[in-house]
Amino acid sequence: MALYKKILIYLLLIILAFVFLTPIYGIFTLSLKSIKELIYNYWGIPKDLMWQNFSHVWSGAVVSLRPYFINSFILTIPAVIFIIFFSLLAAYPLSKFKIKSENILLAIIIFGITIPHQVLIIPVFKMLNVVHLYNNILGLILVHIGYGIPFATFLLRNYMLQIPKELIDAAMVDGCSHYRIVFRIIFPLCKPAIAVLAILYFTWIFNEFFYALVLTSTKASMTASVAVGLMTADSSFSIYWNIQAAGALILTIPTLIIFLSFQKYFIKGIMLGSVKG
Amino acid sequence: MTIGKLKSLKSNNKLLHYNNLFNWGELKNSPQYIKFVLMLIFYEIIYNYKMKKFKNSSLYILLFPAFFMMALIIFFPIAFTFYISFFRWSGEGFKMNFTGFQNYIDMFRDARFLNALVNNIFWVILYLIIPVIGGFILALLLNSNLKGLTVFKTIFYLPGVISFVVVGVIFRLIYDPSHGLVNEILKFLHLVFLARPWLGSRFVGLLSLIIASSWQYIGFCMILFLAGMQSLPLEVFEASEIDGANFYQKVVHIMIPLLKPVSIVVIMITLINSIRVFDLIYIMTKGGPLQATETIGFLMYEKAFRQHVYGEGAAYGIFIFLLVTIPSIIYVRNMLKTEEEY
Repeated sequence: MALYKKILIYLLLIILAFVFLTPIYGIFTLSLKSIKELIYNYWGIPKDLMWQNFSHVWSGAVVSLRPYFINSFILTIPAVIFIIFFSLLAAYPLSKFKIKSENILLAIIIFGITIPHQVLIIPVFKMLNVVHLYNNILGLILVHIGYGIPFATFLLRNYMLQIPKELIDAAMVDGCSHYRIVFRIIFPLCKPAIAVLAILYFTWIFNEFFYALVLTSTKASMTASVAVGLMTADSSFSIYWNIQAAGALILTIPTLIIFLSFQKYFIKGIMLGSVKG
Repeated sequence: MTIGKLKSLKSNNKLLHYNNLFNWGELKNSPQYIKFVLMLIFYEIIYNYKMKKFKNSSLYILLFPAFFMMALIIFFPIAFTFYISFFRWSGEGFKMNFTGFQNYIDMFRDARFLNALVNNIFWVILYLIIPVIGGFILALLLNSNLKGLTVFKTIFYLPGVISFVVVGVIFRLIYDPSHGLVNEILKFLHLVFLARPWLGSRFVGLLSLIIASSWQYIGFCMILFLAGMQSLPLEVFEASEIDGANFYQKVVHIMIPLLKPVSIVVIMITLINSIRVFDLIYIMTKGGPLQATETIGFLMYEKAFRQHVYGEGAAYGIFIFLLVTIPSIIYVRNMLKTEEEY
């Protein structure tokens, strides 16, 4: 490739990267400013770094996001574990055996991936009310498990197609039951895909807004994303841009850490689930 | 009661005859009874496991938990939403009044619905242009063997892991009419006449929302296109280069036709996402000013959980479902087709 073309590509990419990073720069600098500085310096580099903003948001007198973050983790971790567990069980027969009406089951799963929240929310809301799981983290966990299973099953099934059938046949000849095959052979071989799923679902469920907004209402079960959303929309905070930015930034930290440490898996997971490359 | 005794009972296969061996009346509520039942269940499982009785049936048992949860959370609710949409229901108890298609008629007569529908169509069209074509161009830029491109890949995908709540907060501040970044930059460039409240009117507001949303979503499209491009056979491009094809011809006549499967996936997912859009609108404008930026997904929430007319909310839900069905059937068929080729 000619040199000027290379330079042109790099130049374009650098400009685009600046544009993409501007909002992140903005929220980062805003969160470190004092309210006095905000009067004359909105988007510049902050003069004194007000790290206190974060502690004010995390467990301050006015806002305290800590309980909501605890809720979010209590919701996310079991939901992710159960999604992966159930999907692992279901993906094994779907990938390794000729079972009756396999194509219909697959179509059901793929169709399930595409259903919007709004179609399901009224019955789900009513069902949880009837069994007294409204405004309860357990109810939210159940909803996320059901909603998350189709994509995870599909992705794991695609991954399992690569596992040679002979391995399973050999185990069955030796008298291994299906459960044992799943846990002793399939599970270790699927670890990369499971890592991908764990990371993807952690971010999705942690960031999820709609279900959490409708199905929770108090501090006891509200998740961090809803708490931050409602806090920043509150008119009493409308001039405290630094507090809004600090709250928003705290919300991104868990997913950002996970993304930056496992970014290879992220990209792999998206490709595995959507396109077969 | 020992396991041995139970085993002998079991091997006689006379479970029903337990009735004669025990005085049920006394035992029924006693802890021993519960213990006994638990032991029986436990024994059943062990026995069947040992006799390999599960071996053939267990494939379906493995499918059961996943499909049960899906049925409970996805497929039963779809049917129930459909059912509710024919009733007038305030959400309390199960007192519903059958009204036939009244909810749908009300929906289509509602000026607010038509307004939201127009907004949603606008959203769908622009969402098919900005993130999809933008993602394609980004993927083209990154699809070469230059050094250091992973850094850019990370940067472009980075917003994709950020919650829409945070995207909403950032962009609400960026679009702020008095001190927002966009207006400050325009002021700095002496283009004050272009400065405006970016979320303050209908189409400009929607466009601003879509740009904010695209910032988050574009990386996803880019990754999919990039994956598709990198799996294309290199020989075709080399052959076309020998034949004297320029860059533009290579992209339009070779790359785009070859990328058709990936493009279908991207376009369908984008369609589905743009039909159901909710989070960002809720965070940034709440449908305002004066319902100017409402979409159908947002209006469904308003109807059901603000105005508590669940019947009409369900009708909105079914409308969204029907809109999504077309792209999702194409998506399913595409997935199953690549399946067979695999």
